[in-house]
Amino acid sequence: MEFNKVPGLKAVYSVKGDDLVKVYGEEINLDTKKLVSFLKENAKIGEEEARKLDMGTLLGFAMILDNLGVAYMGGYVMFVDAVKTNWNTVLDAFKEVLVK
Amino acid sequence: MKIRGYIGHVRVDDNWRVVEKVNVPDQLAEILKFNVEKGNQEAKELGFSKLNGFAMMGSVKSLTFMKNEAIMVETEKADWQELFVHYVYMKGWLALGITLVILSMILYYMALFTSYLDYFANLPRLFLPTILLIVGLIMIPSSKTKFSYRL
Repeated sequence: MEFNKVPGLKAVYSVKGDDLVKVYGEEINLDTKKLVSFLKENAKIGEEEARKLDMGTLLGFAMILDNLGVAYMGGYVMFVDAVKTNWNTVLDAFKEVLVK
Repeated sequence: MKIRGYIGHVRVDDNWRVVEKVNVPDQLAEILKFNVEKGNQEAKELGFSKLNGFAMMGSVKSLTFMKNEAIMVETEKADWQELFVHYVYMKGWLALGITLVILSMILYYMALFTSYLDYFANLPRLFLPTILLIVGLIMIPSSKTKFSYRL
């Protein structure tokens, strides 16, 4: 996996139960359990909204909290510097992880 | 607006009233409002100051929201970096840069071909437009850099 292709990438975590496990990168200093519960909640809401908006099924979503980009897809969470990153590479990295 | 896979967009004011809506469902603004309010709440609980934007990726269409504007695109065709860069562009900065360049041209013209500025000495006449030109020319390209990402 070539995460280093993603500019501004801080870390990649995977969702294990109600918490996160680090796969790559630095330690992210926030309440990961709380984040997971929010992500799961948002995924549920997002699925509903995607249906209402005729967007097909929800594949994933991203939030920018201050300058931290948090992208969630298929059980993985990617933390990036929202200013430095290139979002195409974030998506490519996701595709690579998810295909495995 | 030239965005790859562009389907439509909606722009709202700070009170969530729709300002401009092109080819998106009526309920979109309401959904955005809900998501942003919820996101802000979550941001605070996680120790951040606010949610600056979000994106949703669907199998058919995708959605990004930032700075009071949501854009809907076809997922297959979307260029995500382009979507974010679109927001990164600072229109005010760009407009001011262009204005300064035009102003400097007018001043050059007045200094060189008319007598309006004859009160000033020959060289000082050209100082101001030159400074304006330099500042303007720096502002135009910098309106597109990542520095302007700050929301």
